[in-house]
Parts: sequence; C-alpha cells; structure tokens
Amino acid sequence: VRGLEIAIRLVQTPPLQLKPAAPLALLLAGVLAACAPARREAPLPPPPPRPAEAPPASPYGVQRDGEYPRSAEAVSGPAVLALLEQARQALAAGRPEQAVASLETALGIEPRNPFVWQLLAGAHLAQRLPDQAESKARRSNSLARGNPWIEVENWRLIAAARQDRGDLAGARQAWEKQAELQARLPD
Amino acid sequence: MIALSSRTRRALLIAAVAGASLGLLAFTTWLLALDRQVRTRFAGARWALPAQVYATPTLLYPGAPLSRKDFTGELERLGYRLGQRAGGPGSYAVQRRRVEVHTRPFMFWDGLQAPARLVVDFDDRRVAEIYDPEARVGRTLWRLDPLLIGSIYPKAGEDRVLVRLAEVPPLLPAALIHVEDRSFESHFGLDPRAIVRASWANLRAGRAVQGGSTITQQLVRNFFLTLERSWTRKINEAFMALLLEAHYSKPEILEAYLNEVHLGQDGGRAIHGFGLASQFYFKKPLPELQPQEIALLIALVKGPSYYNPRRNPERARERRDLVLGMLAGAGLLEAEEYQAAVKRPLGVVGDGGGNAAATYPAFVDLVKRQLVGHYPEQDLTHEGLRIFTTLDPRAQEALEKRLMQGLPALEKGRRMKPGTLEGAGVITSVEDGKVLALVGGREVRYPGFNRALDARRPIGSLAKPFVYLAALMQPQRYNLATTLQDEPVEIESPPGTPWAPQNYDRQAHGPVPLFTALAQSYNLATVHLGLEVGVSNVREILRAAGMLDDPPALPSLLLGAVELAPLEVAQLYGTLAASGYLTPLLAIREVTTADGQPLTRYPLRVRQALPEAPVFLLNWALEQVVESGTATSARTHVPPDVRLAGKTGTTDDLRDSWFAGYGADRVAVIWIGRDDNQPAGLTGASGALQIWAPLMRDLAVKSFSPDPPPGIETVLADPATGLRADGNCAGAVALPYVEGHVPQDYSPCAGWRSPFDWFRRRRSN
Repeated sequence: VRGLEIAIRLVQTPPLQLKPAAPLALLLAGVLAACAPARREAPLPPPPPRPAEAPPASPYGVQRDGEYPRSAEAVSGPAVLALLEQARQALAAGRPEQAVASLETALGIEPRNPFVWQLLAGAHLAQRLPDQAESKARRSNSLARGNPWIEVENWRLIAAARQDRGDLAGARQAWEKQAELQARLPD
Repeated sequence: MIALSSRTRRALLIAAVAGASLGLLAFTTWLLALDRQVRTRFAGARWALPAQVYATPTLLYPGAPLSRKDFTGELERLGYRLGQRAGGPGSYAVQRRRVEVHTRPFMFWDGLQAPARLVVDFDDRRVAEIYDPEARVGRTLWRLDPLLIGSIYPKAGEDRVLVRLAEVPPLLPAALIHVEDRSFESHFGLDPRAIVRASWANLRAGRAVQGGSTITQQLVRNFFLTLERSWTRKINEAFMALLLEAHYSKPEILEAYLNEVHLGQDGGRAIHGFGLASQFYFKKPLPELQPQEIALLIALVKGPSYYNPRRNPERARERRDLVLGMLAGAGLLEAEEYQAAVKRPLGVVGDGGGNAAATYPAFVDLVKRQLVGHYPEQDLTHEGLRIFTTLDPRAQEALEKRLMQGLPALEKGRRMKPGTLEGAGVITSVEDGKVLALVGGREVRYPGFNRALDARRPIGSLAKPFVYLAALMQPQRYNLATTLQDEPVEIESPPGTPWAPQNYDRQAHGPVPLFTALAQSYNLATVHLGLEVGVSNVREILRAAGMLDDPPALPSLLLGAVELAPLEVAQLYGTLAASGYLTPLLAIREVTTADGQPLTRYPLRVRQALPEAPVFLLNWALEQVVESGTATSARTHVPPDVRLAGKTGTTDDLRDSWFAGYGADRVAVIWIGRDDNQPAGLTGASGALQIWAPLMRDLAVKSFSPDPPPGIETVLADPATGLRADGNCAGAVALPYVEGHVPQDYSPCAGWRSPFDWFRRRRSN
C-alpha cells in the first residue's frame, strides 16, 4: 500500500523529478493499478464539479509542456522587464533604494510576479533590511507555485537574510533547503 | 526782523539740531521696523509654500488595462487640450483607436520625465502599442504627469503654486507690466507721473477710477492685505515699496508679485499667485495658458471678487477683452492673435475645485494624517513639499459614482426620506496595500466627517471569517466540510447577563458543513465554533490580520461586537486577500522637496501574518459567500468568469450594512448606515453589497482564483457527512484540505473502492 501511495504521489508531481528511480516507480504504479479491482476509481482527486471552478494555471508555475519558466524574461511583460532591468542596474550601481522604487512600480503592473518579489528581496538585502528581504522572498515563494528555479534563489536569499540578522541556525536550515532544491534542478 | 541775542540763537540752534536728530532717530527706527517687516514678508512670499499633493501617475505601457475612453478621460482630468493635432505639451488628438498626445514634463521623485509626443494605439480594453514618432521607437513605459489633488495650506488659508519667472509664458509678465505699471522697469518703487495721472483722472471723474500704484506697491499691499484706506497705510506702503526696490532686483520683485497677488477665493481658501490661479480657473499649468486666458488672469488683478469669472462672467469677459485690446494696441499680440483670442469663451472649467484641493477631501485628509506624525506643521504648509500619493483617480471616480448613485437608489427603493443614509468606502490594492480610493460620505466634495476613517461601527458578521480561520488553523480538528451545529445557544456574558444570539432568519439549521455556515452567515453555528476554538484565539487572529484595537474577548466578539472604521476593515480583509501576508496600508509613496530632492520614501512593507494554507481554505469559503451564500446577488453584476470573495455584515436592528470583499487585485469595503445610528433598514446584502458588486465590475477586478499554494490537497467531499465522496455521491464538492489532513473515510454514498477501503470502513465502524 505504501509503495502505491508513493508511486501515486510521484505521478502527481511534475516530471521535473524524473530521476533514475522514477520510471521504475511509475512502472510499479502501472502494474499495481492494473492489479487493482476493476471498479477501483482513479486515485487522483476527481475534477471539480463545475469547469468554471478550475483556476487558470499560474503563468509562473508548471506549464503545459511540464516545464517551469526559468527567468523573468519568459513570463513578464515588456514594461516589467524594463523596470527589472532598471532595478538591476541600480543595484549594480549601489543604489538599492532606487531599485526598490522601480520594483514597487513593477509590482503595480504585475503584482503576482514572483520574479519581481524576488529581486525586491535582493534589493532589501542590499539595503541591510533582512526582515523585509525574507518576507519578500517568502511572498515570492508563495507565488512561485512550486517553481524550483524561483524557489532555489529565494531560499538563498532567505539564508543570506537570516545570516545578516545573526540567526545562524535559521540560515543553516535555509541553506539546506536551498541545496535540496538545487540538487533537484536539471542542468 | 527781531534781533536775537547770540545766546538765544545758539539755544535755538541746539534745540533745532536736537529736534532734528530726535526726529531722524524716530524716522530711522520706524524705517528699520518697516524694513524688517517687509523683508520678512518678502522672504515668506517666496518660501511659504503649501505642500502639493499628487495622485498616482497613469502608467502607459503595452498591455496596460486602459481603454481609449479611460485614457482620454484621464487626459481631460489633467486638463490636456483636445485638438485636431497634438500641439505642444498638454495637448492631444483622437482618431478612432489612436490617441496622439504631447505629454507634459514632470519632475518625479526619481527624476524628470521629459515631455514627448506619443502615438498610443488601443485595442478593446488595453493599450496595444506606444510609438514615439520623433525618436522613431516604440516605448515600453511612460509616465504621465500626475493629477494635483490638493495642497496643504495653513489654517489662515493662503494657497499657492510656486512659479519661476523663467518658466512663465513671456506674455504674462509683459502684459502685466503693460496693464498695471508701464514704467515698472525704470521707477524706484513709486511712479510720481502715474500718481499725478491717476489723481487727475479721479479728480475729473469725481471718484476713484484709476490707481497709480506700481507693481511694487501692489506687492506690498498684498503682503499686508487690509481694506483700510488711511494715509498712514499709504505712507507705510510707499516707504516699503522704496525699501523693496532698494533690497531686491526687478525680476525678484516681479516673481514675488506673480506668486503673491490675490486672484480669487475658494471658500476659506485664498487663491494666491498666477500658478495656482491657472489651476484654479483653467485646470492646467501656467505655461499652457493661451493669450485670452492670460488676459483673464490679468483682468482679475483689478478685483478678483468683482470680476469673478464664475459668478460674474459678463463683467469678467468685458474686462478680459479690454485687456486683450490693450495688449494688441501695445503690439504684444498680433492682430490675428487678438481676433482669435477675443472670440474665445472665458474657458473657466470646474466648479472652483479647480486644483482639486476640495475634490478628494477624504483622501487628502488621510494623507495629512499620515504626514502629521512625520513632519512639523510648518514644513507642510511652508516648504512646498511635493507629496506623491497612491490615489488612483479612476478608482476614486468609480467609488464616488457608485456611492452617489447607490444611496439615493436605496432610499427610493425603501421609501426613505432622501438624505437619510450615509455611506463610506475604501478601495485598496491587494499585493502592495495602496489606498487607491477613499470616500468619507455621500457629499464627496465636501470636507467634513470622514466616515471612512472616523465612523467606527460594529462590524457584525464581517468578524466571522476570523472565527472560521481560527478553526481552519487547527486542521487536525476542522476542515471546510466539518459538521457544525447550528443550534440555539445561551450563555452568560458578561457573567450574570444571559446572551442568546439568534440567526437572521430566527431559525436553527441543525447540522451544517462549516463552509455553508460561513457562506450563509449562520450566527448560532459561528458562536458554537468560536466558543470551541476560544474567543481570545479569534481576537488574536483579528489582531494578526491587522486590527489595532484590543476589544475584550467576550463571546459577542464572535458576531462582530467590535467597532472599526471602513479603512481598518480594508486592512483586515486585505490580509486575507493577500493569502495571509499583511501589508500596512499606505496612502503616500514619496515626499520630495519643492525642487524635487527625495526626502522620504514610504516603502512597501510585507509580513506573513497568517498561515497560507488555512487562509486558502477560508478564501474558498468566502468565494462561496458570493457563489451560493448571502451575496449571490453580486453575480448579476459581475461577469460569470470573474470569481470574487467577500462577506456581508449586518448589525443589530439593521443599523449598519457592510460588505467587504475582493478579487485578485482589489479589495473594496463599503459601509452604509445613518449618522444618528438609527436603524437603516438594510442588511449587508440589500445595502452595501448593492454598491460593492457594480463597483467591482466598474473596476474590472481580476478573478479571485489563486491556485492552491503548496500544502493543499483537493478531494471530493460529501458535505452531508463531512467525509470523502466519489462520483456516486450526489452533491459532492471538490474541497481543498490542508495536506495531511484529508479525511480518510468515505461517506456511505461512495462506491466500494478497494479491499483496503473495505477494511478501513470496517475498522472505523
């Protein structure tokens, strides 16, 4: 039973996790499913009763092709990209205040863009505002809808913020989380 | 001749010298006093500048949710001129789906936005493309100049917009000098020839028809505005004029005059200077004025009240045309220019709230309150600070319109005396906590009791979501399908006082699923649930969501016995809308000095205040309020594919009617009630919701459809039993659960699923 549950969970998660062991588990799942009694329902949660209730997938999460967008360029409008670029330049020039202003304008345009929240976290880190850096990286994570490319960077930022605050145990946890995500990323 | 002895002569001489010295001393003292007075005042005229308050600028970018009509409405608000072609900053032309606009330059907190001629193409509801034909490039982002929505001037009431001599249209000073003081460039403060000329004219007419005052004298008179016409005042004035000329150059004096002269009155607000007058009468900046408009302002110098173009348009027109004639006669206007100008109407726009100081009084009030803690009053009224706020004029207009139309409609529908109901509303943005619009009462233009901030009323059922959230934060005990008991309850609270709340329909509904109890706003089920999870727990969650009050943890809190203002409610619901992230609401983004140096930024602050997964479940239930609960009538107003979440609130005897809710990007809170706190006869659904729902449509709010955060599983459940369901169960609902807390047991309605399932069912029986 346990093996079946694990297999089911793997089937449910996006194909990013297709590490060598996964095809085996998939195979196992298929075999087990075939062995189950004929009346058995599909194990996945049934679709919602009304099609209107299915929310459109977040552009930042997994896409139809099973891939996650890796960079802001893939999912942001030209205005937000221009502001992100302004912010990067301001950061590079050591003017995080100005970067924050550009990024807040960008949030007015695409308030749920996790890449914008992420760069904002970076700007706060440069301002030595670790609490805000962590909060914004978390908000980015919560909007990333499981996008590991976004999450891995957010955990790096969270770790750095905690370190800056002197919370070394917290920083270590965040680094571990970051490393774990990093290991899952394809090259 | 009487011969005097030499002794007498000497004595007389000494007396004369002493007298003259004493007189000289007195004169000098007096002159020095005058000098100090006039110099102080002169400095004040240049520096006593009210803070300027700006709305958020409109951003143009491809994809911006702005229709052509929205855009031209925006340009109209900003006082852009509509023409055949865009000619010069502050003008535009329209061709079907295209707007050609020449934007104005504007000094923002982060630098200058240069003026540009832009061609903006629209599709149905959005900006499609922005093209800059001069630079021959497409533009990705362009900021329009922001709307000036008010200024913060001292109680004495002098308001002004500073202008620099170099920035005003050259016709203005030239015309001013020609009409008011032709020898300004050469005189020393007084113009004896003009005085003689005026005296002669007045003598012949037998009354005062002409003034001989120079611009310098007029400036002095404006410094010490008094209607007193005494010789002392005239002599003081003359000497002060001489002193001013001794201290300052002609351009300095002229610039001070341009900023000082009294040009109108707006209730208690005195309109000083041409910069403000241009906004006040024409709603546009001084550099954009046309000759006839400049002539009107110059006409007003002679008597802003007598020639008030809003009250006495004929008189004003006559005087304006006279001024135009003088300018043409002096060659300051070409003959054709004169002909064109004299045909033009006065062109005065608006009702006197020309620079909008009185346009959004409730919002400007909020801005002032936010500033007061940060800046001394003197800085706000004298330093010319520029305050960039979060006000979105389009959202504000929508909110005003809905309240101004909605309240009379509700009164009519219930046969109430017109004017019985009052209302207030707030719109905020979800992710970054900006206050976009604020209305403090049905008379939206009149400053007064600001109900959005100060009408603290019991919130009634608006408190319920926090009771349910307290439960959903214990996923091992509660989920959306948990069966609650909607049964009578009587407790003593406070001890010795029996408290027996009832449902709105005075019925008990027995066992109900948790989400239905919230969607239908059942009081009894809520009280039972709240007592189970603990009232102080509920209070802590309210406080975590942003409530600053600390009401006693009495059971009546579960049904909303806490008094909050609409803005505070917006804060609480904003935290729910943002998945549990709290952003302290802000009305101000930046403050700069008068010349654009950044002073203060109010950055976006975010904090995770409530756990995301339970908030997601709660939001699912709050969507049911609109889908199938107490707010279904909202569905008739918003497009079917737009999902919204919210909650009705009604208080005892229908005194307060609330609705608070949100889509993906906007939170709106509406309160309706009576100032005397008598029953208004409206529930949250029959009152506030009827304003909220069409407002959400006007705002084109984005559908509230957050995809589940990590840690959420969605499974079919049978609401009747709270257990899992499958396709065999009629009325099964796909419900989100906190991961790891999905019920394992299937409802009896479900089919036989697997041997394990059979086994489990046996075990659980």
